[in-house]
Amino acid sequence: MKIKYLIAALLITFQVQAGIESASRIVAKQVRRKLIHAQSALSRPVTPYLYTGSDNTAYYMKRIRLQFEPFVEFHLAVFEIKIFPIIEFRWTRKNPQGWVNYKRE
Amino acid sequence: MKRISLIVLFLSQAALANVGKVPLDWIKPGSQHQKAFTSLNQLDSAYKNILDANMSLFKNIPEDGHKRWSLQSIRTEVAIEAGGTIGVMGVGGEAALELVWVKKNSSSKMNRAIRLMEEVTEPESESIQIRGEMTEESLAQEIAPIVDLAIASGHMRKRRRLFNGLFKEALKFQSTIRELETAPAMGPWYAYKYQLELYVSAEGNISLVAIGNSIRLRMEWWRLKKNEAKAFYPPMIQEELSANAKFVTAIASDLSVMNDTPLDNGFKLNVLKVGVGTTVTGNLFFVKGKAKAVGSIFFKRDPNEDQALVLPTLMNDVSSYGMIEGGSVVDVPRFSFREGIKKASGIAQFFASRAKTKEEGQFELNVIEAEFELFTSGGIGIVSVEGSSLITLFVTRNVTI
Repeated sequence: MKIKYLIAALLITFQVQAGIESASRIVAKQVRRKLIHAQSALSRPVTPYLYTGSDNTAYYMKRIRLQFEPFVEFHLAVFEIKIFPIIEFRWTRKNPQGWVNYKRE
Repeated sequence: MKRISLIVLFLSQAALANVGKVPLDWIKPGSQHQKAFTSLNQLDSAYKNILDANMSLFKNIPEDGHKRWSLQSIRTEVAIEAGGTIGVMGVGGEAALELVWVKKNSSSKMNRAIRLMEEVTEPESESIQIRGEMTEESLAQEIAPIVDLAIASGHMRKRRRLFNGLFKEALKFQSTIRELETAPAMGPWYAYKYQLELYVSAEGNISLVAIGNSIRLRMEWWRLKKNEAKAFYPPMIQEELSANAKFVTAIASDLSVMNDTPLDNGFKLNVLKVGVGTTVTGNLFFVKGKAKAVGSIFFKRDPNEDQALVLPTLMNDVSSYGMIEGGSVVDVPRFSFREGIKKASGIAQFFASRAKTKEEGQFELNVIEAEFELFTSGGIGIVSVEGSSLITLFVTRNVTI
């Protein structure tokens, strides 16, 4: 009986391991596809703007973060596994010429 | 040229065997349930187990090899139940601690090479349009690529609806930003970044929380200054400041009561984020609870400013802060807020001090984000799963955020 449990446990372990590996491949594929599209959206030439301030400081949209949750589900011999990894992309652009990050003087 | 970094966040639903509890007055200020207190030794041990469990998990992540993308960091979350039990975050609810494990040397060799390449291929920075008053047309132009980005993610369809929602929020931001710029720095802490965070549904609606196929967008406006010889700007006197400028300046001066002495393991408390909103009349308030679009002001500490020179009672005519809770505005006494901030820095440093000086394996813990709730009494408590965070303390080492 114990041996059966052991074999079952090993089987589940291997299946989960294999499942997680394939899930990571699926997620990577989704991420890659999204990135290609996102890159093209951000690569269009636009004029960046400064929100001018009262003195020699200003606010500038410098970073955008996009977070989503790909959903991966796979069926194993004895059960199903669902994975919802949260993935966040961050795009940062350079400061405008002649401007640096604000620091106290 | 845009620089891209990828952060993969994992939410582990694994339960940990070793149960620890935080003192109840860490969660709710003034809690009288003394019997429920647990010694910090038990919390210490449970928290260290969580850190060790994370590290042993990350040790088994294989090297990236020569792939185009590389795993830069991993984020894990720690939650605290209403009763004080600490554990690894499951799905749903607020996380009390967010731990960011950064790949060692990822920021050195690779980023240096990328930066060098960018400088060679693109020596000029972005050309910029500067206007005294940003028109609606130029605001629309700035938003358009972000809408395109969201559409390109494949998670939503209604472009026009999303555009209108974002445009409305950006207009609100425009009025807020004017107030931030006029807030003078008094003490070592100063506002350096504003973040607008929103969830967008598949239908393009800006919604309260992430549901199903929605995405989360965060736009960050950084404070910049001209890179030229310092010009002299006479400091504004207190009476000249707007109510919002006083609000921001008063918070910044209150932050100087925090103990930010660097820890032995290299961690240092150096950034604080606070959630704010504006009323229809444009006044800044703390925002408690869920909101459709959450704005946050980030404060940073100037390492060169001497703590001893700080007078935390600056801006004496601000005696309380407004906070929107459940649709109505309540006043939070400023003195209690200041006491709460002092306590919060101690709690954040407790968790940071438990990190090892040197981690084994590819990843090391470099950022700890401790989330706190603000109560109407002005007290501050670390957020439980059922609560809603308003203040985040960032304790970091080896990275800048």
